[in-house]
Amino acid sequence: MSQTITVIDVYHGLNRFLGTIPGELAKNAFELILFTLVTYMVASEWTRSRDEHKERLQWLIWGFGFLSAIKLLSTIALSYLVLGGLQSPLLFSHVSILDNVFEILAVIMISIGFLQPVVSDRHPTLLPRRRYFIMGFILLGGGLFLLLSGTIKTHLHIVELYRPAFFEFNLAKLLLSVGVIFYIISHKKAFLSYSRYYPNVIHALVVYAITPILHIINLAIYNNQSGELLVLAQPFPFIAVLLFTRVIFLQLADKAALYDELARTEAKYKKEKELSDLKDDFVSVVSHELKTPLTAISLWSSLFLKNKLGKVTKAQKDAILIIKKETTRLSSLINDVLDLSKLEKGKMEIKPQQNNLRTICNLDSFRALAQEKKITLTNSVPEHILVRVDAERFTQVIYNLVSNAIKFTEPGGKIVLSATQQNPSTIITITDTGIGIPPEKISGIFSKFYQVDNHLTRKAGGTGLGLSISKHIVELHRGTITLQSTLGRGTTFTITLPNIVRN
Amino acid sequence: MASKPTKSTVLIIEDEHSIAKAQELILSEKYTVHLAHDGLSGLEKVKQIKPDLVVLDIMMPKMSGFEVCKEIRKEPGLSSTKIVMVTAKNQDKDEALGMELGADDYIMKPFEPEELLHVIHQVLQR
Repeated sequence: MSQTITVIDVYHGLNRFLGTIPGELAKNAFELILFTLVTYMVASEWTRSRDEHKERLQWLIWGFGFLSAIKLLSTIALSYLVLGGLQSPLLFSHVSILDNVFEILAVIMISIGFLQPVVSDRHPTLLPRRRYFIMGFILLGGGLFLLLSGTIKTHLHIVELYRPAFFEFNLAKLLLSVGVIFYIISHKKAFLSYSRYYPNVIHALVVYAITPILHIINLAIYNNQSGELLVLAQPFPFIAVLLFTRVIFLQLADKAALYDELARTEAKYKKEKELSDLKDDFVSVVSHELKTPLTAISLWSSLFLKNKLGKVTKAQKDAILIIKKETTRLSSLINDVLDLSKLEKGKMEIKPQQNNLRTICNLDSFRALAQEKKITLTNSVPEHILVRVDAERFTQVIYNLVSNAIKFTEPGGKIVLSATQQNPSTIITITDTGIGIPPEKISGIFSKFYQVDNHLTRKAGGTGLGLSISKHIVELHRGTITLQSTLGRGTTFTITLPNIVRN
Repeated sequence: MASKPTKSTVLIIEDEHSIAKAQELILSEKYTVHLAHDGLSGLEKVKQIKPDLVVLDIMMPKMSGFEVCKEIRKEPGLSSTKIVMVTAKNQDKDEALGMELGADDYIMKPFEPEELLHVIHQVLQR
């Protein structure tokens, strides 16, 4: 029994201390630190938020900022008093008035900050009339009483050194709290879907409302004489702020947890996608499905040709050779399509290595064809040029350009392949004296399936993918490919390769 | 009495019957040829007949060529068995992966009969 009394005594003692000026100073200093911390916490969250969340946090920053500012003022004023400076109760009362005004404004702003996502038009289920009524009620209540209190303030000359219990201020605070509580309750579903901590906000408001109620009782019943009630009412606003802070903190912790979860889910998804991609990668599947029957056709044609299935007549041999030729053609078409598919998806890997350009530009395989067409093919690439390229892929480019040149040059024409190494790039040119490309067709020449329609392309066929693939490959090497052409005179393709290619 | 040198045994593991038969026809002159049509039965046959060389297709149902290659290389008794993988060059890394898993060489589809004979001959010489 005696123990319980002691606890109550301690509580009373503490509260009485808090009622004195040094006590008030201690309380204000402590609150200053807390509010500044919360403001900082919300502000740093604000900098990391997306725009749609920023507005809500802005209200909270203002609210807690106001509270921090007034606590700073109070702390300074009380320090003067405590340190024995000014013995001015009037300063203290002015600070107290500001304290109350700022507190009401802060509570309005914090309330808007918590209500904001529901109040804004994102929740069209809210009945406009009710919304405006409640918000108006809150603001009206607060505003009216601030006005009244301002008027009354001018008639007050002496104020008790205890926390002033202005009826107006307290009623304003009470109405604010109750108004916001009603608002939240009337839109319970909307609020709960936004955050599961809204009940905690209601708790905070209820706690906050206790102090004004006690002060009003004090004024109304005890004629502002009950020191006990004043002291009893001390801690509640502070506890209310702690509860508000807890809600903010819980929401931030939730957000962090969600981010973590999101990151983990994303990583998991990426991994699964990679595995699934590997299995049914377009290129893999198509490549296998197309090349398998092609292989079967090719093999059996060859076996036929080699008399493994019985001796073949000349006519049969010619027929089979046609089949084989078409198989080869089909095979290179498939390779082109697959290459382009890989390039467009960014899935082609090149392995650049130091290579002798002359070796890569080996045109021996074209000699027979050029001779047949009576075209002069000259390779004037110097011996000493070294380039960092993926040999296989870059050869593909050169071969494509040279075979195009042969395709579009009439008998008696000339094709020259040459190169110079400068700083910072190596320049390779393929010049032909062929039929050239009409000017309006030049810009589209590198797009896929693009073909300048004339008798030569129709005869030679081709997918129209070669130049598109070549351009992609050159660009993978961080180079550029351009062309110049004069109709009837010839075409020059120029490849520019930077001398340093990073992997 | 002069004894004829025994022909090397080659096991072809290929799920496409048309290609498997063509390969058999190509190789049966120079080698003793066995066939298997999927990875699992192929693996069984490898352990059973212990061929000198296995021609292994990569894209097969149930068990891919890569997996069969891995399994063959796990067996200590099959360390001298040569493996040639048949790829359709789907990814540039197919060959590298095959070599990493222990294949001795590879051949790309579509291929000519001479190419197949050439590669197998080369690999058996090593």
